[in-house]
Amino acid sequence: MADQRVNNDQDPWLREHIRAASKFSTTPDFRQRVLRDVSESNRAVARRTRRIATIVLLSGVIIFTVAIVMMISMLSPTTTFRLPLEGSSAVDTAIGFVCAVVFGLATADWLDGYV
Amino acid sequence: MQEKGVLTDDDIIRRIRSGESSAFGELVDRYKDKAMSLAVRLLKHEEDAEDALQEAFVKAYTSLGTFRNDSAFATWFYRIVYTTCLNTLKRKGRGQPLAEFQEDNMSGGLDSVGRESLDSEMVDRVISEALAVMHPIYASIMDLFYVQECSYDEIVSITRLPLGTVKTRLNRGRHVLRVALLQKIPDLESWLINE
Repeated sequence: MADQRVNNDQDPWLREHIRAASKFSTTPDFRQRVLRDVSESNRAVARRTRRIATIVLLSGVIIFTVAIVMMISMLSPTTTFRLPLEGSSAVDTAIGFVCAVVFGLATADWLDGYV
Repeated sequence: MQEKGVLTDDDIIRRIRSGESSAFGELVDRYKDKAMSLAVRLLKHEEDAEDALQEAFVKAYTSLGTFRNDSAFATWFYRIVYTTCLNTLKRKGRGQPLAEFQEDNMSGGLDSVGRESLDSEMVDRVISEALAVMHPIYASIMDLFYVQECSYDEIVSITRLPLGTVKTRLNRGRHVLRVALLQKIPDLESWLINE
């Protein structure tokens, strides 16, 4: 009889007793703790989003400024600040561009601490 | 308009996704006690279980964007609880190897119960003791099947175990319960006939 009742996975007898033996409850402040963690996680996401937006914006401004300065220096016949673009290879230009982006991102990240 | 009490999980999830993050509290209320049972079966320690459950709820909230409604929310959430508890076990180095599991664990605890005092509560006590010392890999499957009322397919999806393994573990868990019941309640057979 016990074999039949315990081995039958559809027998409600065992289910009822297991459910009765498995009544656990969380502490009363559990809900508050979860919701507090959730709102902290929301704030962390918002902070991260704001930080990424600031870095992208600042780096864009810096890269744009560097590009303007380079253009002015190339176009002005009297400038002393002439970048060695004439005769440079595509690799040199690519390296220059990557350096400008890295410089822009690093500066923006550094400035982000003050924003 | 639907009343608060009859909101489905999907309704609540829609509210959370539309920016009403406080609606998550309703999901917490709905699942905390049942999920606590699964966590206790896996971790064997109520405080650890509650901590793991708290972590699981926060993970569920932050991953809600990845929930695609291709399964019930409960199945998806129990998968998070299950993996969080397994990670806690690994972190604490309490992942007891299967070989160490002994049915002798059942021998402590309750004294044998005499027929005169035998009632439904006694059976609950014996089952409770047996589940408390049962190895987590069996106890968790028993909990998912009997307490959470998951189907075999849902248990497979939660545990990522093959169906055969799920059925074997369920049988093994039932065997452990039967041994415990017969050991502690010698009059169980006649009691069951009379019940």
